[in-house]
Amino acid sequence: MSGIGLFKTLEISAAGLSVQRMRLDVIAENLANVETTKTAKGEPYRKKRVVIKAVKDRARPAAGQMEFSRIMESNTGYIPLRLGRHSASEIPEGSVKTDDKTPFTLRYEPGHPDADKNGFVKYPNVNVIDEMVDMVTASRAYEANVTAIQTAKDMFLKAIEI
Amino acid sequence: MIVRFVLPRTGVARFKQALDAYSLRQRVVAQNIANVQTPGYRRKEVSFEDSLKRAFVQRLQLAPVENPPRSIPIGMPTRQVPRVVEVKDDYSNGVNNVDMEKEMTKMVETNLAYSMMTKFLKGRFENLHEAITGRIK
Repeated sequence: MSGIGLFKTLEISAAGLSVQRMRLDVIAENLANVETTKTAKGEPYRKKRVVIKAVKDRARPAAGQMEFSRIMESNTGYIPLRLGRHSASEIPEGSVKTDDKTPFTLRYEPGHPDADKNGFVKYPNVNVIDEMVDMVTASRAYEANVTAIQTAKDMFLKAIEI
Repeated sequence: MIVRFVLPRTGVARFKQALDAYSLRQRVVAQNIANVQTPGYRRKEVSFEDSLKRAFVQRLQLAPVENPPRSIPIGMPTRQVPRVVEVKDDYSNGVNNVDMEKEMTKMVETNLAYSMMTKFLKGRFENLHEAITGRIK
């Protein structure tokens, strides 16, 4: 039974949900700060982004569970699955990074208190359209993970009916 | 006694294998969906239908007359098992090769197949129950 159980599925989908939620949080922060010309560091707000990477999960089932499966399997003629080297689940993990590469937007506003001597104000490197597009993909991906959780739940309930 | 001698001959193991395989597929689909925006991720697939079909067909096959009936492989599980494979194809969603529509369809299919298998397994246990108690539900 190592790692095939439906609870594992829920865990993976939950990780997917939290990554997408993190992206939505960061997008909301970027959008909220689209006009912030001064932060604690003294410079305009810098766009943040979530970098996602897949983490391989090597968790082994608990000893008691192993024992139960082993007895159950040896008595029913069941051959435990050997799933190959790609079977370890890959769980998405997000981390928030600041975008230092995209330059700030310059706007000519001589009356602005943060304007430089030429009258230009540095505005954050946030592009509203990019953020909106990201928001839609994040929210769709979130929905897809919800559907995956619902399906796993359905299957689990069916298994209880046996 | 029941566990040791009856259960192995009811084909329950085969259903359990099928259920395990489908829940594994569901896990892999969920993983593909969860990683839809993970750069460098490659989608995974579970293939097992062929070996499963072979296992079920094997069970239905009649032994040739000259062979003693002991050779009918009733209830013996198959050696072929599902495997998780990494797929390298040209499809790209912009980040990796996870095709959301494909994964969603697979998920619905898996769900239906799983319900079907649980229904069959339930029927199998009901038969066993009838045989043990002598009462038909």
